[in-house]
Amino acid sequence: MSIRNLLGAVAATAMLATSAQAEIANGRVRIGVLTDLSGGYEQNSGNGSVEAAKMAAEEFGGKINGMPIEILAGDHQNKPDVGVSVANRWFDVDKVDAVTDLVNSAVGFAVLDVAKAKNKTVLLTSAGSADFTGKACAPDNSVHWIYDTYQMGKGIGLAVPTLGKKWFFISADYAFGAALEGAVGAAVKAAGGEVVGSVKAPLGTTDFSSFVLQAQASKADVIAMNNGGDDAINSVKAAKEFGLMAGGQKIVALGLDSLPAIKSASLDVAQDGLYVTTWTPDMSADAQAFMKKFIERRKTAPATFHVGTYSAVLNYLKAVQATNSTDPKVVLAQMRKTPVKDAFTQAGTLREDGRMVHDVYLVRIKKPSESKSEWDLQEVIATIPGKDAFRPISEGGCPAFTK
Amino acid sequence: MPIQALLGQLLVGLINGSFYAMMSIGLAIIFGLLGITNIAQGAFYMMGAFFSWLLLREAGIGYFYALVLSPLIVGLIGAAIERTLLRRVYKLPHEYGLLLTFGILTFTQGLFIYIFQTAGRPYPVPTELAGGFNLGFMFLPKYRAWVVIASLTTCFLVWYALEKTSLGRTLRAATENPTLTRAFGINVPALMTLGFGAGVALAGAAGVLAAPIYTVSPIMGADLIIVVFAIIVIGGMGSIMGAIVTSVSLGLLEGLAKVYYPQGSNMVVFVIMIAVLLLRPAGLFGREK
Repeated sequence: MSIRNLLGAVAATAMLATSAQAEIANGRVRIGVLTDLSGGYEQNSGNGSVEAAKMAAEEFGGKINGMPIEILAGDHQNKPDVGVSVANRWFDVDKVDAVTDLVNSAVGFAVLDVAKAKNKTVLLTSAGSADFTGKACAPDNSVHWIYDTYQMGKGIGLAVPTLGKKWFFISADYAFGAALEGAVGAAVKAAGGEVVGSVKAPLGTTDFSSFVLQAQASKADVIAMNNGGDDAINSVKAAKEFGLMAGGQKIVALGLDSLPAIKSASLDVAQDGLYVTTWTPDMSADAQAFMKKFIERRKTAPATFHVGTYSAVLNYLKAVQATNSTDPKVVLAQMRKTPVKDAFTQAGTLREDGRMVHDVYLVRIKKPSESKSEWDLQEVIATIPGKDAFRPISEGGCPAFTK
Repeated sequence: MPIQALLGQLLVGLINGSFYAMMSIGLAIIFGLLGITNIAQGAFYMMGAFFSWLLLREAGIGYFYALVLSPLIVGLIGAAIERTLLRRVYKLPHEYGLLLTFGILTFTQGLFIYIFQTAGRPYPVPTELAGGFNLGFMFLPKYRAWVVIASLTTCFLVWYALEKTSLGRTLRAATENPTLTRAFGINVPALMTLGFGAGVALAGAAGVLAAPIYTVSPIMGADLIIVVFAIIVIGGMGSIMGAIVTSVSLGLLEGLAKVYYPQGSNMVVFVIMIAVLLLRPAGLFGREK
């Protein structure tokens, strides 16, 4: 082969490579829903998130530009190592283009590292640590769609004047609980409050009575449960049982951000608890329609994370369709250009650092006497505009934006 | 930590300990009689809670009836499993029983997730036991006091039945030497079925007791069973008194860990298990063979 032919071949290969980037690789779009299918976070994410991703795919008739959309489901069992091995198999063997859900921030961080190394897309929906757009940010590979711990703290900060000055924390003992405790603590202090004590409870604790007694003994005005999933339900139940609410202490149940979870805890137990949410069924006709469709399919109302996962996948697929590409950089650039208007939010924008900015709500759980129907469980008491709720890029410490 | 608050924590430890006792005593009976390490005990516990929830929802049958009915159903299911499956592994090494019951646990849990999803179901505290007592140093919910009384009474009755009655003597004889016992005209296989049924019924009863405290869900037994297993390993496999005493003391110890080093509270039982296995491999109350 002459030098000239060789150069020609190299050039041709290079051209093929570049043109391949602007195409949907492998002739199909594969999205893996990596979630907790068997543990304490299943109810709020899990199989409901898989269903939600499928609902998003169905809106395209299951095909984009003639190529099939496939939704895969995987169980990370809340273990980062399991999450990483599933992600590796998906990326290397199954040629998955994007991974979503990733409830449990510890798993989220681990999988994000894999996706960065292999240049894949991560749609973080159910994971909550604000570090995903802070020190761990990956603006070319990931979006953080639904909520984060900074925004939860910010929202709850608004309630400090009405709730009381002295706060006690019961926090989940891992990345998410720590981030949430930090954010809520900062918001409480900024609002003139004081944190009088805190206790770290292992993830998956069934009996919270000991922690609840410590909270009771602290004489705090407000007890904030910085946890999620079944831990949130069990801790609120224990607080009710040991008479904290009856003794005048107020409960902020940050992890009860989900209609099914409130129903599991029961209104009798959770009534008057406050939390910050990113979605309520009453906010738009789209939201109501989604809720109705979801109930038909799953026999239960969607949790906030389900609606958010649907929205993230839907907008990802729209961008894949518009660019005819699955290259993360290309798709994410398109997503940033397109406003988000669907069942999850009516006015969302994807920021450069990967944060999807939208309005959030401070809500109160209704008393049993106020609830008019099966899923009428909460009442919005304040709406916080997205730009005030989420941390500005300049304060996040994302390495890509620090000068 | 002021002494008053510490008293409260110790009381909570006692509550959890007596609850563990209810779970571990069933395991101890089953291991003692059949030589089976019944990992599926967690599934029977979950079933106990689920059946009481179903009884209430589908038939309006309340807590106190469920406390009898639910363990009975669980016991019957257990007896059926013993007759059809477990019987086949008695002569094989212990590992086979362990694998079989692990399979039963995973299958049952999967089946319940398939039918009911993992969402927790609320089960109300019965009105007779709602509210609580103000002890000065803490507010003791009536229901938790009831759990202690119910568990410890059950444990005592089981211990009494096995150690002091003729049925208990026959059961123990059947364990020691099945062939000879059979020669006395005693139906040993029926005793085995009874023993397994009773052992899992105790887990079912623990499930009913747990239903109003925790949410009823298909995965509620999975985490608990690991702790309970550690407890009977510490106490000595098969020792009834060992199971009761270890349960209560570990409940107390776990309570203290939740105050002084909460992050380690899920671990403390296992650390002790390792120490016991190193120093006394047969467990605190077990006899070396």
